[in-house]
Amino acid sequence: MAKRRGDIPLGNDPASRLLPWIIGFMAFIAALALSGALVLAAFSDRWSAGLTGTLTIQIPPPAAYDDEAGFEALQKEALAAVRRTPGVASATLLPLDEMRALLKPWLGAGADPRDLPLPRLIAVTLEAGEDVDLADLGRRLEALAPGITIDDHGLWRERLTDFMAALQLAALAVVAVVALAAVVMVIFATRGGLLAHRESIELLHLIGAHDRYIAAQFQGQTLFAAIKGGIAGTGMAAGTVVLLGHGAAATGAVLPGALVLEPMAWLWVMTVPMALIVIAVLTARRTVVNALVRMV
Amino acid sequence: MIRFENVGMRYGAGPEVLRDISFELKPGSFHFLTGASGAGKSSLLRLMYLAHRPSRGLITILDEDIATIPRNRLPELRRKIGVVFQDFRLMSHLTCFENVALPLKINGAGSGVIKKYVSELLNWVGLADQANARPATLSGGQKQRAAIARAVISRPKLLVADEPTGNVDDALAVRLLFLFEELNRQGTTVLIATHNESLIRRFRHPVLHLEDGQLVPSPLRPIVPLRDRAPPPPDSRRFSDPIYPDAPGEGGRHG
Ligand SMILES: Nc1ncnc2c1ncn2[C@@H]1O[C@H](COP(=O)(O)OP(=O)(O)OP(=O)(O)O)[C@@H](O)[C@H]1O
Ligand SMILES: [Mg+2]
Repeated sequence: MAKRRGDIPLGNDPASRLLPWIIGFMAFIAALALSGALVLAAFSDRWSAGLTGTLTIQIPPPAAYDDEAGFEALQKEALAAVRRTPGVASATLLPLDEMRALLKPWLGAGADPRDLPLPRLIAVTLEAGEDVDLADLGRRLEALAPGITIDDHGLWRERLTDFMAALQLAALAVVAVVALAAVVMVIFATRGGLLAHRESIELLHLIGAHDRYIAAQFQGQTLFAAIKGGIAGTGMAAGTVVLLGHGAAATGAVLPGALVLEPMAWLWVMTVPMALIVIAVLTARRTVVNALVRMV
Repeated sequence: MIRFENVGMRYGAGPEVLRDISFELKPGSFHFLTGASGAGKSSLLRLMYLAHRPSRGLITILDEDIATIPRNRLPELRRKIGVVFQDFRLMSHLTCFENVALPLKINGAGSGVIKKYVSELLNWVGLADQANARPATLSGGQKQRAAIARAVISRPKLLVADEPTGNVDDALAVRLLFLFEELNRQGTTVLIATHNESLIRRFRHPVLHLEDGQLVPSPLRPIVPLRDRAPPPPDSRRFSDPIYPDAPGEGGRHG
């Protein structure tokens, strides 16, 4: 590590030497938490947007199982009704084979999904920005056959966004706690330095140094420590995020969209070391000036 | 002007180590301060270089009443006071050169000016070849000379020296006294605490004598009025190389 040489040999204090490490850990945790919050935000936006543009319409299986022909006619009528609705971009009946294939792992190899009375699903894609009158559509479908339901994923979406918001809040709380912890650590380190260098500080005072001259020495030391620690810690966090993103991609596309940070989000993460540096330097300055006023 | 009126001083809640101190130092005067060990010389000097507040009495330093001067003006006043500490108080991590340069640096002097003045002065006190040495590697006398150089580098209006010749031989002590006299000729008020009786005899400046925290007439030499003082010995000028040859004289005690 490079040594700075000020009028006060602050670089040699145990507390000063630990400061870059401590700030490094803080930056690491804060940057990681912030990245998590940002990834979640983008993720929940994408997911929510993906769900917003779609509806699922469920036609329950006919009570009379053998009325296969009537059931198919009902499906066609329902599909036509949906397609006629303004604001609907496309509507397709989910093929029965596809549904059975989806069910197969749940039922085991032996069972034949064909034996099950499956409801039929119509996947609806809405035109972006169009408001669809769901109540009217519901009434029309109800008229075709009772029991047809429309799922606009609203409840699911609401729960998802609530959960994501809670996670983000937790992440931001971590960032706030780290900032507070940084303030406390810098106060401790600075007080340690003030105590260890009482004599040098008194000498500087006696030969005519202003408080701000002495404070500048501490600020310089803290700035140096914060730059080292902040950059190293944030760098480690960035590396971790990239690795986690690769890891998530390797597990397969279970999740809608990769867990990666967008360029704008990276900029936000970069504010972590800068904020830590500013917080650290201002805290050091305040601590020193407050202490010096009490000296001769 | 320096004036003490009925000044008392104590450390913390301890007893008064100085009592009823009253005296006045005219601008451009040169005084010795004597007294047995523990009589309070260093304590009196601490009051003069604003390291300590009196427990009572009035102190005026360079025409400033130190009881009322706001804290933010103390640095300006302190820059006019050069101090040679009894224990030197050199910064151990700085070189001899950097230590001497410190007052100029604090004053915001440029590196060119610093280099010129510090080199000249180190030369004068015979420390030119120790410029890059750390205090730990200097002898007692070398440290003392570095401390003196730092005290006089910014040409203070008041020079306060605590045993500045305690660690040097008589020849060097005399030489350092010439340095102080040269500064004094340029207008600096000088007060030197010393035990060295031969110096006091040789340099015929008035003496403030402390006994057990109080000023009493000196057994060596009673305080003589400034005007009646004998001129400095004729050989003093031979050694007093001008420290700042290009500096305009500021009117010394004779002016
Ligand atoms: N920091 C301090 N705290 C408490 N008492 C002190 C302190 N410094 C000095 N004293 C006391 O003040 C008195 C005067 O001490 P001072 O250092 O002024 O004497 P001095 O004349 O300079 O002695 P010396 O010639 O040995 O340097 C002494 O009784 C000493 O014990
Ligand atoms: Mg003393």
